Amino acid sequence: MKIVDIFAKQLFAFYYDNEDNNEFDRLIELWTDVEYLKSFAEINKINHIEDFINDISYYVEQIQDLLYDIESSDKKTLEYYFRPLHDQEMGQRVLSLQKGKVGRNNSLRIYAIKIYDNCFIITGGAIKMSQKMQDHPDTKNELIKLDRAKSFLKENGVMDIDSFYELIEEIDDK
Amino acid sequence: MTNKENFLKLVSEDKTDTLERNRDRIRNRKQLRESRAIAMKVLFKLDDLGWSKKDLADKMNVSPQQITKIVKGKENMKLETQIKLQEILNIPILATFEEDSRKTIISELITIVESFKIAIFPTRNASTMQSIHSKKVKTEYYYDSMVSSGNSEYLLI
Repeated sequence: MKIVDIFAKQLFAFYYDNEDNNEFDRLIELWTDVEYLKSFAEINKINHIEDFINDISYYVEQIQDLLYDIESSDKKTLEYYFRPLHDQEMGQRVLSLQKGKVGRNNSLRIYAIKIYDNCFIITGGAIKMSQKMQDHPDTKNELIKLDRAKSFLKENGVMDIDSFYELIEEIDDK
Repeated sequence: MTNKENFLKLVSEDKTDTLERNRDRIRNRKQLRESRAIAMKVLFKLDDLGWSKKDLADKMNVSPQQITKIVKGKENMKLETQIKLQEILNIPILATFEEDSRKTIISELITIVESFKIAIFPTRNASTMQSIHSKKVKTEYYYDSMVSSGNSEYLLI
């Protein structure tokens, strides 16, 4: 796997082996593929497939607009666009591209790890189909990818920022 | 080395075109929406007909890869391809579909009227019958698009 720079050394993405695109592009390609969405809806026993495809397509447009907003706005930092997922949902601190323009009902998730202030790396994403990530194979797989990404970073001497915060707290405690 | 330095050392020197691709997608949004709508119609119609993508490719005399591109909903299709899809699958894609459907309906109506004329009024002359049935058709199948397109007069003669 390798890491590529999407935007001004602030937004990065993993580019996994055997994939044709980095994670951001891969997800956008997937979520705009009507045949894939129809098949996904059938597998997940979604009743109104046409509505589902239209909804997802609308959500993808929101994400596209969001990326455009990120690159063209000099006032807002990346921090504005990311929010931590609930601990109870993840069991760990991971950040999700969910703030800003993307509506609350948007079922698309892009997962990222915060490396340092205003620097995020996208590890993957999924169509959220269950309350808890562990309850659906796609989001469960994203958890595995997140863990793998964290290990990769750690092996290369990079800690995610939350770990640093914990370390600072420990020092402060002393 | 700081965390940031360690991280930046891991970043590939390969340039990405993600932002450019994103701008293109936004710029081409209207076309992509149309392509998506066509892809849905094609996929649902294939289901209805029980056809595979290869069946459609054979009937359209194109490669299966071409059909795969179409059903992904991102293809900027030539008019020629759209016409083929419309005719082979009988799905509305182009403006002509509506007109052709209208003509088909009217043609069927005329056939019904003609049958009715022969069956019920075999002795009446043709011009009287035409007047009677034109009125009936006009009452039952009158709709705005016919009138606005001017086709009603033509079709009811």
